[in-house]
Amino acid sequence: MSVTATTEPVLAVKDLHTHFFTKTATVRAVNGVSFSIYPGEIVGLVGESGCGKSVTAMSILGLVDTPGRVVNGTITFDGRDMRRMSGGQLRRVRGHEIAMIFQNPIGALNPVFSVGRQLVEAIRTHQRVGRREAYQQAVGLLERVGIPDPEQRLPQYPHQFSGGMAQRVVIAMALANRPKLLIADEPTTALDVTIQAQIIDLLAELNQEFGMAVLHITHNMALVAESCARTIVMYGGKIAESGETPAVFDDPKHPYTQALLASVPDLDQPDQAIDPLEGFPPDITREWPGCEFEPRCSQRFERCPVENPQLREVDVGHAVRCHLYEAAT
Amino acid sequence: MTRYIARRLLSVIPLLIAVSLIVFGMSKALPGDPVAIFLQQADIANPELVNAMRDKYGLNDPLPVQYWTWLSLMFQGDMGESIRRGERVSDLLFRGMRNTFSVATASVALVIVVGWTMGVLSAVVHNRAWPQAITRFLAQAPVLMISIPGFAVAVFMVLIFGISLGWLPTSGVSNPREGDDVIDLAKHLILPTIGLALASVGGNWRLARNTMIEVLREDYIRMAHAKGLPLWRVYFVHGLRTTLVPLLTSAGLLFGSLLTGSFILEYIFAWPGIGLLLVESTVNRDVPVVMGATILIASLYIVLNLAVDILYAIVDPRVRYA
Amino acid sequence: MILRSGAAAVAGGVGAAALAACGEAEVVEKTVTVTVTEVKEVVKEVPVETVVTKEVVKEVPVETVVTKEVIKEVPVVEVREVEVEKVVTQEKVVEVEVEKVVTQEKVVEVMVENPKADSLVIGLPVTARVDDLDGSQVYEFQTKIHAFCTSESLLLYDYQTQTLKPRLAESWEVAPDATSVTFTLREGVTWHNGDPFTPEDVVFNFNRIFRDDDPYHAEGTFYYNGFAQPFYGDTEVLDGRTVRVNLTQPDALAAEKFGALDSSYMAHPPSVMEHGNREYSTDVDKYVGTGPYIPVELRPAELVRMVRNENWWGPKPDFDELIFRLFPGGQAGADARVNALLAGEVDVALYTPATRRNDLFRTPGIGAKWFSNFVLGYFYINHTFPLFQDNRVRQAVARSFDRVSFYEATAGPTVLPWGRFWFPGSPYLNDAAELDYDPAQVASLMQDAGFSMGGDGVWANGDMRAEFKIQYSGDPGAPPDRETFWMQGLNDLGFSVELDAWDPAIRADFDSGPFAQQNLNVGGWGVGVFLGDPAFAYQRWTAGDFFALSYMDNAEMNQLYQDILVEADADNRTSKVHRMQEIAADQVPWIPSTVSTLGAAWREEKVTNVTSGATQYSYPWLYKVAPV
Repeated sequence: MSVTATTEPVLAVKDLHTHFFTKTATVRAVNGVSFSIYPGEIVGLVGESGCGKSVTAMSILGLVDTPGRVVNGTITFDGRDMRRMSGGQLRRVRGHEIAMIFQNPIGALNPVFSVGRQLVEAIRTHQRVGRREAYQQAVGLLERVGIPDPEQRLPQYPHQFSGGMAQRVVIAMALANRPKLLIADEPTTALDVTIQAQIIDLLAELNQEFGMAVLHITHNMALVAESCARTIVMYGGKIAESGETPAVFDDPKHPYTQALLASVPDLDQPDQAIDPLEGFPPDITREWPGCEFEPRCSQRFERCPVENPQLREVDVGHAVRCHLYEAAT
Repeated sequence: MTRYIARRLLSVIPLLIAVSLIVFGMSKALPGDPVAIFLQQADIANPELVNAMRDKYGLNDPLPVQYWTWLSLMFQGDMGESIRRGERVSDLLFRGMRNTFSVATASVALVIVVGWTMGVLSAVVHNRAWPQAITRFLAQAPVLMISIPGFAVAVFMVLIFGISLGWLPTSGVSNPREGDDVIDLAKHLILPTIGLALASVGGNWRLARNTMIEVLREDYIRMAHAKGLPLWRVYFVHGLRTTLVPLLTSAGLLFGSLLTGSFILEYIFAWPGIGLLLVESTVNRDVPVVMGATILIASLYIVLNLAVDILYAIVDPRVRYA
Repeated sequence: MILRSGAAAVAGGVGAAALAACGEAEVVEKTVTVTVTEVKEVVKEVPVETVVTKEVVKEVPVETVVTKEVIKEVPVVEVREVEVEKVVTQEKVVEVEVEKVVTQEKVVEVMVENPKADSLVIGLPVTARVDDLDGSQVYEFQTKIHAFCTSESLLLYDYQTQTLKPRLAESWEVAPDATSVTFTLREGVTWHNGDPFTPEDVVFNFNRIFRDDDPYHAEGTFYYNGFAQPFYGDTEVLDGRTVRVNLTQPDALAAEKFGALDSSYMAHPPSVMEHGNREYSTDVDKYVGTGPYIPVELRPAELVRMVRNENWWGPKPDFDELIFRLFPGGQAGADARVNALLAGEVDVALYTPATRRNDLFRTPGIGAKWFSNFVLGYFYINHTFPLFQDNRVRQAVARSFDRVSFYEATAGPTVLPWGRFWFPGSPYLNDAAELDYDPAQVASLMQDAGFSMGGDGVWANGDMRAEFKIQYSGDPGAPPDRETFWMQGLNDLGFSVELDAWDPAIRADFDSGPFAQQNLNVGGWGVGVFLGDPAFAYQRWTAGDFFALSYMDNAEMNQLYQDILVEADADNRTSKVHRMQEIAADQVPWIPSTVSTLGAAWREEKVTNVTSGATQYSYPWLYKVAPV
């Protein structure tokens, strides 16, 4: 049950298909994904590399690079259909209403421009303010994200920043225009563990302070457990399981979710052996007749290789895509 | 930045001294008596004249004396007199360098205007759903340019545009029947420039395209898109600036090598540049000219490298602070 | 009426505008020269307005050719060229030039006046000193073409007739004992700035050119004064028009040397004194000459521009403006010159390459030809090499080069194969002294020398096998066609011959290079220019000289040379030169190969013909351009 169930979602994705058309094959990176994010909510999107999490994020922003293309589905942001927007309209949403931060903060900053210039650029792209005004805003933003001596730091170049500091700059840039939704694509993966926590805390603070929704994309189950209200687990371009974070973590339904959780070392019981997931992600260049997880699934049965399961709600707000639970409903 | 430049300037001095020693040593190691070769070519059999000329050019002095004389005179701007041409070496070099400079500058301009622009454009449209004919052309044209030798194209162009159509002059730096003005020079520059720059245009086109494609895959480009920047800003501010770093190096080195003169092109177009001067002087053992030209070219190359390094530091802050 | 037959290749000059003397009314004598040049079927008549015609029919005995000819007479100061070209059997074209000799025994060359005063652009190769305006300081022969339009010598040497012609001097006389030469200067000659040309100017110039202790000698470089300098004593002014050069030793050719030598060109004394030789010769603003054209612009390596000298002593020079456009030397520069001609950027291209002959011959509106340039090409042969110590072996080797086949196959009409020791058409030529290709004679010469054909197909005489190398300087992987062809011919005739490549850089090293006595067998490709001066030829035929690499020393030849030096009688001198050639054909000081040629091409809308003007002493490379 969601507290936000009665309000309109800030983002609603329905039946999203994003495929990459290479010369030899069609890569079905995102293959029928539906979910919603409500204002002020932090949603975790988890899964192995290549499961389609990042492509989902890029699809939302309309930034899928060729040869990729959103082939089907609707993306409704704040009541507007993103897929029907013109390039100009999209650009007015990007960085303004939906901001994004990336895995490698140093790489996300242009090495040849000063940090200040990049921040000012982000501000002035969407706000009609003068250079000086924008600069003042930039100082405030850096202060807000916890960078000491912002006045000194602004003229500096990205390579003069540590990873954590750079990610703070990127976050400041994302916050510049008070977005309604922040998409954080593996925001801490490239950082030290101690810095990770700081960034996660910062994101949580900002979520509280500005009331922006956050889509937190990660492969790190522990981070999701800490910070996200809801969790969506993706596998092979599809959603395997979604629900309130406690429900998903305490009562994982999908064998894949179970396997993922089993592979995370439990810091409270360090002696317990972890149980790594065997096998490889599915070949998404072909349409699977059955369940994509079937080859690696420990609980598979006759139906699994022949019929593709549908996502079904097995509990209130807790959905899973597995034949095991079809009988239950 | 100032310290950086000062440090680089100082590092050049030992290099120049080494160059002067090498040039001097090589000029002395050249087989054959320059004066005898010179006179023999004109069928002048006059041993007294040979000796008088050897005296005149200081060729009878001991080597260290010759080196010191040469070096100290050169510091006073006096590079001696050409054995073969009888002119002051500095005048000859100035004239050759002026002609080479004009065609080298035009070539680099062509490389930048055509090579870089086309490269950047073909990177921008790379992977777009454009007609295949266009994308193929943008990807293959530079390869073609690189693989056809420039001098062959030059000869061909002379036949077509010079002789058959009569649109452009076939050779030389000016038309003596017309005014010695900029338009006349520009007309004479067109064919040599194309011949000289063609392969480099192709190379830079490809380099710009590949670099830009790489750059456009960078996170900060995705970030720029995600910031909602207009496309032109993404490509030409964020994309181009980083692409410029290897391009500037390439153009700088190209300019350096063009300033040493392209003998073949200068030969084909009867272009009295430094390459022609250097080769002719070497073949004819006109030692003062060879030495002057080599020193000049080496110094220019060193200075240009320095300029490229400094430019590099301006474009890429990472170099500056390293 | 003087009728001369015998062929030389062509006549005249751009600078030969230079040589055109005129202004006299009555036509007294007519000289006809007959020229055998390359294959060309043309019958041409030059239309001249207001021409009164007389008719003279002549027979010209040249080989089997009979020429009929019409001479037209032209009223005073009108111009005047009559050219008749006729097709004759044996595919030879006979060019007949008519020259009129006016009173005072001046040879006057007549030309058609240029109807539209115009500029002419001439494309020239220049690799060395490009900027000399003063003929006495010129180094490179191409440069002379323009320097000789601006400056003049006292006399001109005409290769057609092997005679001297007047220029700044009207007449000359060598003393009977050949110890002095007296020049009588032309009246009314002025320098470009209006100063009169005086005998004192001649004294100044001869001292400047030939005296090492002269203050104005030191700074100039007079490359070609070496031929005359050893003979020079002093110069004295005899009267207002006459100067006498006193010699230190007798020289029968003193008039040629001091009148027409490459370095014997007159410079304006006040200008030289003020600016020095170099500045005077290289700066159009400081240069003052006497020639038919006045230099106005000089851009080194680019162009030399000159305008007509309205006050020139001769007939009005043809063009308002002459522009010499300078190209690089070598094949590419020659190509560029041809391209510029085809594109109309130049009106005349000189030194056109044989490789472009088809382009030039086939393009409408373009005239082209190659003519003898009086340079003999030859191979050195080392008389001290054991195999070559017998002159019959040397003759056999010389007679085994099939020049005609080789040059017909490779160069067509652009090169003249030549197995003799003097130039075609010259009265000095001894046609019997030849070393032509003759396989039968090769065999009998070798047998006479005691050789017999061995089982391996190689001549041998006891231990001595007919084995040697042909040397060349160049890439070992790419031997020249000529040497390869000759080697094959020699091998076919029973010699065991290999090619031997040497680094071109040490070509001039005569102590250890390919032509050093211990290294040389055969080869080397010499070029000799000595027309008109037997002494020059003698240097090339005997030992001890920079250029004489055959190491021959022949007493009779030496004596002939001494005799010729003081032989003032032209006929006696000629017969002595004939004898020298007989000795050469017997002793083989070198192996003649070609008379090399020079190419010229022109746009027919601007110019009717270009001929090699043989106009000075040792370098007959001046051209004549006949305007439309």
